[in-house]
Order: sequence, then structure tokens, then C-alpha cells
Amino acid sequence: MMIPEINNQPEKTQINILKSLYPFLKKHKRLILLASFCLLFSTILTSIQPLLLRSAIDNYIVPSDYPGLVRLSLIFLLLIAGSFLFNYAGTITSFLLAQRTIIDLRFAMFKKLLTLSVAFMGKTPLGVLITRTTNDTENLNELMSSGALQLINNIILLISTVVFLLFLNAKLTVVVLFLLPVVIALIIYFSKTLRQAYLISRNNLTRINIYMQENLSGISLIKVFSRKELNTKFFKQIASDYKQSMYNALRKDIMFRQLINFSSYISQIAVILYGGYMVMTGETTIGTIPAFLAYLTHFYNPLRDLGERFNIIQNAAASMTKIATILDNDDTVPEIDQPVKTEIQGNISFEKVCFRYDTQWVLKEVSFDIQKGEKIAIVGPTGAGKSTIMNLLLRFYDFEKGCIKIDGVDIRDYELKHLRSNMAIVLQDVFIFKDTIRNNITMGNKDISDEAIIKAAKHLNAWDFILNQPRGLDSELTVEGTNLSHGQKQLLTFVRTLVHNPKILLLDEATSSVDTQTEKLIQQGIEKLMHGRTSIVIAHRLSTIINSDRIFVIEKGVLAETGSHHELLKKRGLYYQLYSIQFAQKIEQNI
Amino acid sequence: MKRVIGYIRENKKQYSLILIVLLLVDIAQLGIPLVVRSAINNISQIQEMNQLVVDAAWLLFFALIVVSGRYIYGAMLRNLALSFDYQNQTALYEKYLQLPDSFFHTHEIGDLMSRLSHDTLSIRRFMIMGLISAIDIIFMGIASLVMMIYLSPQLSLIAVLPLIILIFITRYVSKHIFGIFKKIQQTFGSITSSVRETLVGMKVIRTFTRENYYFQRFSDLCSSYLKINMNLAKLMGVFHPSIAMLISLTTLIVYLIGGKLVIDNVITLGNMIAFSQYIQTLSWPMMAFGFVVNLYQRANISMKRIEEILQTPSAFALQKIKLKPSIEVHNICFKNLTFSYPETQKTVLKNISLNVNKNEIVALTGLTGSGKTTLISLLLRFWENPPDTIYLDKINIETIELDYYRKFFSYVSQDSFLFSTTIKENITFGKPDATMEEILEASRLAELHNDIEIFDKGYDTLIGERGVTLSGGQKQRLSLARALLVKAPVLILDDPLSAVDPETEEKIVANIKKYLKENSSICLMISHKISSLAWADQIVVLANGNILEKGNHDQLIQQDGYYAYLYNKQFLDGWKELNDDS
Repeated sequence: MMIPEINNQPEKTQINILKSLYPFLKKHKRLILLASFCLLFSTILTSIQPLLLRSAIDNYIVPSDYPGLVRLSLIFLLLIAGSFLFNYAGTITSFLLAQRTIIDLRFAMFKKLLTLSVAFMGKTPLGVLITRTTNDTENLNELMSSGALQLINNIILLISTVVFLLFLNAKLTVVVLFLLPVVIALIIYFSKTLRQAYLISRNNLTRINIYMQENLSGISLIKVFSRKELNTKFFKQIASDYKQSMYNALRKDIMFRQLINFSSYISQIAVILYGGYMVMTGETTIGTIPAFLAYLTHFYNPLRDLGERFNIIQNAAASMTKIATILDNDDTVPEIDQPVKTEIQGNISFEKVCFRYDTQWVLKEVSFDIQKGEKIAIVGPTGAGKSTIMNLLLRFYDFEKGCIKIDGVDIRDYELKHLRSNMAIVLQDVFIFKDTIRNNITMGNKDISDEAIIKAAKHLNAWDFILNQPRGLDSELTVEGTNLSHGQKQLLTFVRTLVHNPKILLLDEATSSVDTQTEKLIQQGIEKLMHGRTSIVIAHRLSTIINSDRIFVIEKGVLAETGSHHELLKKRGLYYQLYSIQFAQKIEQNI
Repeated sequence: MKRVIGYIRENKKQYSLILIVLLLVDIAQLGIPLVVRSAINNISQIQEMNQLVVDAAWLLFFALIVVSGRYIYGAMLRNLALSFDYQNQTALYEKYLQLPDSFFHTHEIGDLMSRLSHDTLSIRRFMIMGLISAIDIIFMGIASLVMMIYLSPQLSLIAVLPLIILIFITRYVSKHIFGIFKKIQQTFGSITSSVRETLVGMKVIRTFTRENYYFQRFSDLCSSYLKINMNLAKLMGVFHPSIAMLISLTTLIVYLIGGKLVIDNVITLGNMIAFSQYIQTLSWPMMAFGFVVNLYQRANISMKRIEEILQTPSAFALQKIKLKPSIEVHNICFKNLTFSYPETQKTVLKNISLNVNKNEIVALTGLTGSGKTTLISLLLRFWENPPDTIYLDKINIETIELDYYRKFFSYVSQDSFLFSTTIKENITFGKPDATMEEILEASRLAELHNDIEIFDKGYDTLIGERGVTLSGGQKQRLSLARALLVKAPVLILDDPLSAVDPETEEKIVANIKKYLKENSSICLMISHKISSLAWADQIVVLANGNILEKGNHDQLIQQDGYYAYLYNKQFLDGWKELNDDS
């Protein structure tokens, strides 16, 4: 059926989370100290409170010392206020620590994404990279702001409670603690089962969302292909899966809480029975009993949370493992120590260039020379290696054998930034950012003036539709530029390219059909873009092919033919064949 | 909230049971401090061990009731709430499939999704937490107050004061926290889209070496995310400690004032300790009061959003006559069809008349916005057509039952939308029980088979984020295979081959021709490419909602109009070149 099952196994972790986070934490040593100090003090101040209650009963209420009780109350009030202040400061500082650490981690991730090789990015699904930068870092955020410090805090509270209990009455403490192994066993068992149960129900919810999203997007297909009943049946199935799994998780959750509750009641009964016995035999005072009962809450509340905290830590550890695989990835484009930064003219030469993706050779000993200002059209069947030539020039990938030179210098010797800023690529899939028209053109480069934009836009006949947008250059474009037509988006990327004034233009012509009017503007645009610069175009339009200086015919990774349109037609070779399939046959059929 | 009340009424028995168990638990909870009081008094005054054992037995009994009762009503309540969720989700889903297309023009998918996920969640929260707390507030609140007054009226008056502040604090926090969480979610969403955008546009960013600018944009978003999170920290930083402080404060008052009363022999020590336990019990309903109001308000808004959808009339409801005539599809006829979309005044189609017969191929072309896709949407009845304008075998289509009507059609949409499942399930979308031969046949007709064979898992390969990413051309061919498999009498193709390379396009066109002849189907196709248009029996050029030209290839070339211009543009340049050379 539709929407495959999602893997319900919790991820295994093999990383020391502190070690991986250390580079990000070490900047904030002071905050860590401050947060730990505040939380520790607030815990201690809270733990003292029941002790004062016992003292109130034993030392003042039972012996009827009212002024003493008032004095004690003042101390108690101070304790309350102090614990409030430290608790507040502790929460704020630990949040701040978490936020500052995570923002650094996010920055590091994002910077890594900007430098990682295209080869790596191509192999990793987009969704995975997004999740690493957002959700996985958010898991660590949760760890930092409500997991780690609180866990330490809970443990301190537990230990200090036990210490106070021992101080109050050692025998009674042993009676209280005899349940501890059972409680710990419960926590370990349930934290594991609950984690699994919630994971399954979350995954089921994801399935519902994916299914819904797709059904709404493809609703017209559901209608025409009469899928209403079948899809409804399936939706009911996944909705009921979700309901079952969520119920299972929630039910186990309550069971766990009630079992812990029950243990707490048993401890209370033990205190009353054994404590009462000790009071009667004079071994301890009556005030010990309410104090013990109060400490029991201090004991069980953190225990109840312990499982949850461990889950947060486990999630964070799993996320950290995944983040680390990206942060530790060195698959970036290598640069030499003293790179060349001389001005680029635009002479390109390929010398026996070989390249392969994995095991498959895509380019086999391709050699050619392109003079500065020449217009080259590349044609050939899909998968022949046309776009690889562009990817190699831009150093999105590095070739394996041979050499690529620009103005006689190996492209690997240029400073990467310098090399790329002299080239521009216009891709088939036009890409529009969710930003203003101006920023889409300048890509945030403030050195490009409005005059330059207007000049370029007018030159490419794009100024009219820009002016027609509600706020001209300041109009916000939506994601993937849906408020512009496809043709307009193409023109906009042309303006983007023109204002950056590259020496070398790489263009992958779009195949998708637009109406004739727009088509004309686009063709003119391409001609204007190519004017005066070295250009390599993966061509689909006949006019582009004919207007180029030379045509490279690529087939199966080999440069099969080169020459002008006329020369190649005369040759009656591969180009002639491609050309006739595309155009001539149909004309014969139809006329 | 009518649906909620209706649901509770439907499950009267279960809810009554929950109420009874809840009350039992509350009574047991109220009994516990009394047992503790008796125990303390026993220890300090009577000093009788047997009595203490009786107290302990009572405590155990009450504890058992509390623990098992909470488990029982908790599980029941959650089960009921989740079933209500399920009802709402499936009702929404079924409704979405029945709504007319016009509805989707005024509602965004994201909004419709959030009604199914977020709104059901806020209703569920109310159905679980809200209901329990409401009962607890009323019962436990009043009962513990009564018990406190019974133990010591003077003490009650003063000790309750801090708890009243608690009501206001929770009310304030629950009001603001909702807004903050919403903002956190929104900003997190923006961060996600920023990352997505940067990744998708990575090649462009790198070529223009603008990495710094996009990092700056990302870091600005992260900084505002930090700020909002700190707002949350400030709120929570005050909230939790002040609850702890207020509860401690009540204890302080109980000990200070209560201690005086014990010293003056007005109350016993046991009473004072029991009192301090009741006041702890009371603190929970006091806190709950603050957020129950908020839970209710949010559930109410969510319920309204869901009911709004459920009450929108479905496409079926709009149709008055619903017939299922026997149709062989000899003829489709558009008669003086004029149409404009409801929300705009602009006329998209003007007085269109067109006759299509069996075995005919009709191609539609024209500028963007000329009305081609609208014409097809009307024929497929995504939109309601004006009365008496479209006929199938001389039967007015408005009178034909919608689901029955659509069985005569098969369709390739412009966006060639695919579902993220296996290739096989996408192809068999319109006929889930298709045999492997049928699948292969459709796949070969669409020139898709060779592409699929390369994949390790063949037809069982997953598409989408968790599987392979298909190229634009492959997507189009897959959606074509999906349409060809069902062998419906009418095949509708909305620009099906725009991203397919010319060689393959040539083969597919030949395949479709053969297919149409074998199945004697009618075919309507939109295209901008002459190579896809030329072979049609009728070519219709639309401009601004009018039929500008109509005829076959030769006729239109002779007319020397738009079509001829298009033809010259796309073909003749090349043809001349070829002739010049040979």
C-alpha cells in the first residue's frame, strides 16, 4: 500500500556526546559554572526545608515556644526567597547556555554545508541534510536546556535527600530505600518501552501527514482515477494505526507513573509504621515523621523524571552522532597553499580529461580548446556527459585524469572563490530565493547598484514585469518564485547573471515549453548574455545551436564531433543524425 | 463544541464510569491526610501500635484505590479522546476528497493539514487534561476547602491566600506561553525553509560565491530564534520557581499560624499536618484552573476550524440530478461555453463550441492564460460548468453522477504529480489490481520501461525523499503510463511531454497513436510543441478564451496564422538549413 512503513528501531549511538560538544561548550565555561552553581544552591536550599519543619514541631510547637517558631519562620522565609532566586537564575543561565551553544553548532553545520563537496551533497538526500541542521540540533538544544543540567540537578537532589534522611534517622532511611532497586528497575524498563512506543506513534503520525499532504496535492488525480474509496480505506488504516500506537504509548505512560506513585505510598506507609514505632519507643521524635514524608516527595519526583531525562539524553546522543558525521566530513574542495588570483580572460582548455562517478566513466579523455569570447553549443543525448563538463569547470567535482586550464593555468591552482566569481551558471531549473527581487538579482551583493540592475533588466526586456510587481525591486518573491511565470523567472536569472558580469558563461538551456512570446524574449536574452564572453551552452533550441561559433557533439563521454552547424551537417555524422531525428523526419511526415 | 458534546453523549456510559472512578479516587485522596492525622495523633498521644497498623492498612487501601483508579480512568479517557481524534481525522479526510476544486483555491494545503494535525491535538488535550482538571477543580477544590475549614476555619482563611495568586500566575503564563510557542514554531519553520532553500540553490550560491550573504541570512534567523527562546526561558524561569515558592509559603503560614494554634491547644498537631497536606492537594486544582480556561479556549477555536470544513457543502451536494446513463462515448460536445472563475470577473472562456468524435485526437495550444487548462478542468468537472454547455453522447454532463462520470476519463496533469510510493503503485494508481503484463504494456507505451530496468529494485523502487529522485522527463513518462494503464474512453493530456527529449517524444507520440487506435479512444491534449501538435486530427488555437484557429495541420499552415507562425519558429528554420546544405 501507499506510504511505506517507517523504521521503528531507535537509533544506536556510538559517540561520546560530551567530547563532541566540547568545542562548542568550552567558550561558555563561566556560564556553565554559574548555571551549575545556581541550580546546586537552589536544590540545597529546597532540601533543607523539611528539616526546618521537623525543628518547628520538635523544638518549638511541641515545647510551646512561639517566639522561637516566629524566628524559625523568618529563616524559612529567607530559604524560600533564596531558593526562588537561585532557581530563577539557574533556569535562565542554563537556557542561555543551551541557546548560545546550539547557535554555534548550527552555524558550524551551516558553514559546513556551504563548503562540502557537491559530490557528497548529491549522494545525501536533501531531507537528511535539513534534518541534521534543524531537528538534530534542536534535540541537543533540548538536552542542554532541560536535559543535562536538570538530570545533574535531580541526582544532586536525590543524593542530598538521602544524606538528609540519613542525618534525620539512619534506620528509617534504610527502610525507605529498600524499595529503591524495584523503582530503578521500573524506570529502566519503562524508559526503554516508552521510548519505543512513542517513537512508533510519532512515525505513524508522520505517515498520516505525508499521506495527507500528497493526497491534497494530487487531489485531482484521486478524483479522475476514482481512488476515493481505496484511499479513504487506506487513510482510515493509518489513522487507526496511529490511534492504536498512541494509545499504547499513553497507557504505558500512565501505568509507569502510577507504579511509581504506588511505590511512594508504600514508602509513606513504611515511614508511618516503622517511624511511629520508633517514636513510641523513644528512638526518635515526632517531628521526624512529617519531615520524612516531605523528603519522600523530594525523592520520588526526581525519580519519576529520570526516565524522561535519559530519553532526552539518548535522543541527543543519536542526533550528535549524526551531526558529527557531517561536521567531521572533510569532503571539501581542496585548495593549494598560495592560489593564483590573476585576472581571468576566458580561454579554456581541456587536456585528456577523464572523470567518473563511482565506477562509471562519464568523460573519457576529452580534449578541446576554447578561445576567449567564443560561443560553444554542446549537444548530445541525455547522459552523454554534457553537464559534467560544466560541473568540472566550476570545480563542483574534480577530474580524475588529464587537466583543465583557464588562461593556461590549472583550475585547481586558482583560488576557488576567484575562479567561481569569474564564471556564472544558468541552470535548467531556475532557482528563485524567498527574498526581494533586488536580492534575487544581486544575491545580497551590496556593491551592485540599482542603476546596474535597471540597466541589465532593461537590456534583457525584464524591467517591465519587474515594474509591474507591487513594489518593484522591493517586491518579495515567494518560495520558488510562484508569483512569477516560468518565463519571467528565467529572465530574472538572466538579469542575475548579467549584473555579475562573468567572464565565462555556462548555460543549461531549459527544455520545458513556454509560449511563443516569452520564448522570443528568452532567445534574445540568451544571445545578449553570451555577447562578449566565453560561453558554453547545453543547447536545446535550434536557434542557439545555429548561432554558436562551434558545436561540440558529445556521446558516451567522448567528444565525437566539433565544427559549425554547416560543417557538421555536411559531415553527415552523429550531429546530422540527431538533427534529422529532431526536426527533419517530422517535417517529411507532416508535409 | 457541539461535536464534543455530541461525542460525550454518544459515549455516555463510558464517561459516567470515568466520572465515578474519578470521584472514588478523589475521595480516597481526601481520605489520606485524615489517615495521616490519625496516625500522627496515635503516635504522639495514644501510642498504640495496633491502632497504627489499622491506619497503615487504611492508607494502603486508599493508595490502591488512587493508583488503580487513576490508571483506569486515565486509560479510558485517553482511549476515548484518541477515538474522537480518529473520527475527526477521517471525517476531515473524507470531506477533503469531496470538496469542489474552488475550495482549494481559497485554502492553502498547509492550513488544511494543520486542521488535521494541530487542531485535533488541541482538542485531544482538552478531552484529556481539560476534562479531568475541570472535574478535579470542582470536586477536589471544594472538598479540600471543606476539609480544611472543618480542621481549622481560621487557618484556612489565611493559608489559601498564596494559592489565589497561583490562579492568576498560571492564567497569565498559559495565556502567553501559547503565543511564544507559536512564534518558536514559526521561526523554527523559517530556519528549516532557509536551510532547504540554501541547499536547493547551492550551485547558484557557490557559482556566484555568495556564501557569506546566505550565511548572514541564516544567522539572523538563528539569532531571533535565540531571542524568542529566551523569552520562553524568562517566563518559565519565573513560573516554576514561583509555584514552588507559593506552595512553600502556604506551608510556612500553616506552620507559623497553625503552630500557634497547636501551642494554644486550639487544634491538635495531627490536624495541623493533615491541614498542610490538604493545602498541597488544593494547589493542583488551583493551578489547573489557570490552564483549563486556556485549554478550553484553544479547543474551541480548533473545533470551529474543523466544523467549518465539515459544514462546507461537498461537490456532490451541489448536484441536483444524479443519473448513471449507459454511455459509449461517441462524442464530446462543448456548446457556447462561456466561463469565468467565481472569485474574479475576468472571462476565461468565451463562447467556445467544439465537437470531438470517437477515434479523434484534438490538440489545444495557445499562450499562457488562454484558457486551455480551464477547458479541460471543466470537462473533468473540477469546476462546475455553466448550465447546458458540455455534453457527453448528447447527455448534459451536469445530470450524470460525478463518480460515475469520471470513470470515463484518464488524465495526465501538468505537474505530473507522483506519490511517494513504489513505481508500480504509481502506475497502477487507477487500477490497483492490474496484472504485471498490463503494467509492462503501459510502461513500454510511455517509453519508461528501459529507465526502470536500471533501478536495482525495478518496479518496486520507491520514489521521493526516501527513494530515487526522478528527472522531469521520467516523471512525465511515469504519469503518462499511469494514465494509459486504465484504458479509459477519454484520455486527457495536459502538456505531457514538455520535459521529454525529442527522440523519446517521437517514439511516445507513435505509441500513443497506436494505443488510441486500438482502444478507439478520444484524446484531448494541450501542448506548446509542434512535434506534439502536428499529428492531431483537430488543432485548436485558443487566445484570450476564444477559438482563434481550428483545423488539421495542413489547413492551419494554409491559414498562415498563429499555428503557422509557431511552426515556422520551431521547424522551418531547421528545415531550410537542411535544404540549403543538401
